[in-house]
Amino acid sequence: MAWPEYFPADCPPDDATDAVGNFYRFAESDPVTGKDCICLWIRQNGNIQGANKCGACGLSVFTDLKDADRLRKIFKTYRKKHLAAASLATPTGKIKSTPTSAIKSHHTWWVPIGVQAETLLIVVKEHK
Amino acid sequence: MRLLPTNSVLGTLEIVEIYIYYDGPRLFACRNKAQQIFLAIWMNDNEWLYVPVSPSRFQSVRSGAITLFEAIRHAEDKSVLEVKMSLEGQTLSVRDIPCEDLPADWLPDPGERLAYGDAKSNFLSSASQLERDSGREVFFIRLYENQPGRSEVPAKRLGPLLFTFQEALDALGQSIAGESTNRGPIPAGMLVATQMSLVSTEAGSFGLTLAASSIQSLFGNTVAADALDGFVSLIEIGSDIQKLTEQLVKLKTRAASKYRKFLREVVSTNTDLTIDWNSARPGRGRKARMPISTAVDALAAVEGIETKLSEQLQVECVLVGLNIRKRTYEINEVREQKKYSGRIADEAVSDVQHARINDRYTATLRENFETNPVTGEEKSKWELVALKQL
Repeated sequence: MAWPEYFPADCPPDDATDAVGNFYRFAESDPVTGKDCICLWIRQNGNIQGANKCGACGLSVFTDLKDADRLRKIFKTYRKKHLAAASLATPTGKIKSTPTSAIKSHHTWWVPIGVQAETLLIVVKEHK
Repeated sequence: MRLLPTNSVLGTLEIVEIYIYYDGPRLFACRNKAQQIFLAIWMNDNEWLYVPVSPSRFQSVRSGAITLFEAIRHAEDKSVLEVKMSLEGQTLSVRDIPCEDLPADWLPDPGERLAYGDAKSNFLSSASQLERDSGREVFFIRLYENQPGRSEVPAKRLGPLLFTFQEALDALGQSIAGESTNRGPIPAGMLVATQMSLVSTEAGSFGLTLAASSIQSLFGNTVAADALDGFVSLIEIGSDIQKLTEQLVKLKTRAASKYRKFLREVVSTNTDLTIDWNSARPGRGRKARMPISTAVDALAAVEGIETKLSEQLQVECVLVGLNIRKRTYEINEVREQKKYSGRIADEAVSDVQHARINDRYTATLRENFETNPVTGEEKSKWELVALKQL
C-alpha cells in the first residue's frame, strides 16, 4: 500500500494491522462525502500541538456502538451527526486500536492513496 | 484551525491529559504557565468551553467522583469560558459565560463521568513539578490504600495526623541541623524552616499535597528538605529494629518521641501510608510506602527504642498517692523533698499492685514530653516505670 506524502516515516506504525471488519464513524451528511473523511493533519494544516502526527494522519473510527452513544451523550455536535458504518471484506489500509480512557473501542484508520474512505462508509439508519 | 487558543487571556496552554480523542483531542485537561488548569470540552469546529478547575476539583473530575455535567454546570468560579477560534488559528474571542446561562444542549448528559481511577495522575506530578519549579519541597501523602473506595478522612483523625507529622519534621530538622535538644521549645527559626503547608487534597483514596513554606537556597538544600529526607528514611526502614535503633540514636530522643507519636496516629487511623517526596533539588526526592501492619510493628519497635533513649531517674521516695484504676502515682523524693506525680507505665503495674502509702521506695522515673497543640509549649512528665521497696 502506498501512503500520502504527508504521512511521517514509519506511519502507519508497524503494529497496525490490515483494516478489515466492521467499524463506525460520524458523518455530517448522508451520503457520506469526502468532507467527512478529512484527517486532523490536513484539516488543521499541520497545526496539531498536543496530538501525535501519525495519529493525526488517520481517521477516528470505533468498533463498539456504545461508544457512539457515549460521544453523543457528552458532545452536542455528535448528537446532530449521522452514524456511518464501514464493512471491509478485503484489506483497505491499516488500522490500530487507539483507545482513550472514555472511548475504549477507538481505532485509528490509515487510508492509503487511491482509496476514498467516503465510498466505504454507509450511513446507518437509526431509530432515535 | 488550532487545537489550543493563542494570544488570549487563557495564557500559553499545553495539554496535560486527553480523555476523549476523536479526530483530535475533544475532551482534555490543559494548563497555562501560571499553572491554572482548564478542562476543555469541544463544542464544534471552532468553539470550545474551557472550565477553570482547582487541582483538587480536577482530581475529582478525572477520578469520576463528580460528573462532567457537574464540573461544567457548577464550575467552581460559577462561570466558564467560551473560546472561539478562526480557521487560521487565531483566537477570535474568549467570553465569560455564567454557568446558569449555559444552554442545556451544550452540556454532557448528567450521568457522564470520566473514570481514570484513583491512581495518582501524571498531572499531580506536573503539580509537583510546579512546586519544584518554585523551589519548594513538595510532599504527597496518600491514605487508605488498604481501604479501597474510601475517599474521606474524619477531621478528628486528619488533624492529629498532620500535627504529629509536622512535629516529627520539626524535631528531625532540629536534630539533623545538629541543634538537637531533648526538652524546651524548639527555636522559632527552626519551626519556620520546617513548616509545611497543605496545598491541596485529592479525591480517590485520600491524598494530601503539602509544600514547604521555605524556598530552596542557592546551595540547593533547606532544613525542610533535610527533615523530609530524615522522615522518608524512617518510613523506608519500616519496622527493622536494628536499623531503627541506629537511626533514632543518631536523631536523639525528641525526634524518636515525635516519630512515635506520628506512628501512633497512623495506627489509630488504620491506614496504609504512601508518601512521595518531590524535592526542589533534582534526584533527592523519593517514594516510600508503609502498610498498616508495618506501622503497627514500627510503633512497637520505636516505643522500645525510645524507652532506652529517654532520660531516666532513680529516686528514694515516700509513696504519698496511688490510684491503681486510673494508673496515677504521687511520690515525695526524700533528699530534696521534690514532688513527682504522673502516669504509671505498663511495666510498673505489677510493682504498684501491693504498694502501701507512706512506705519508702526506690522509684524509677522516665521523662516524657507533651506538647500543647495550641501554644506549642512542651511540658515534661515523669512516668513511673519501677517501684521497689527499700
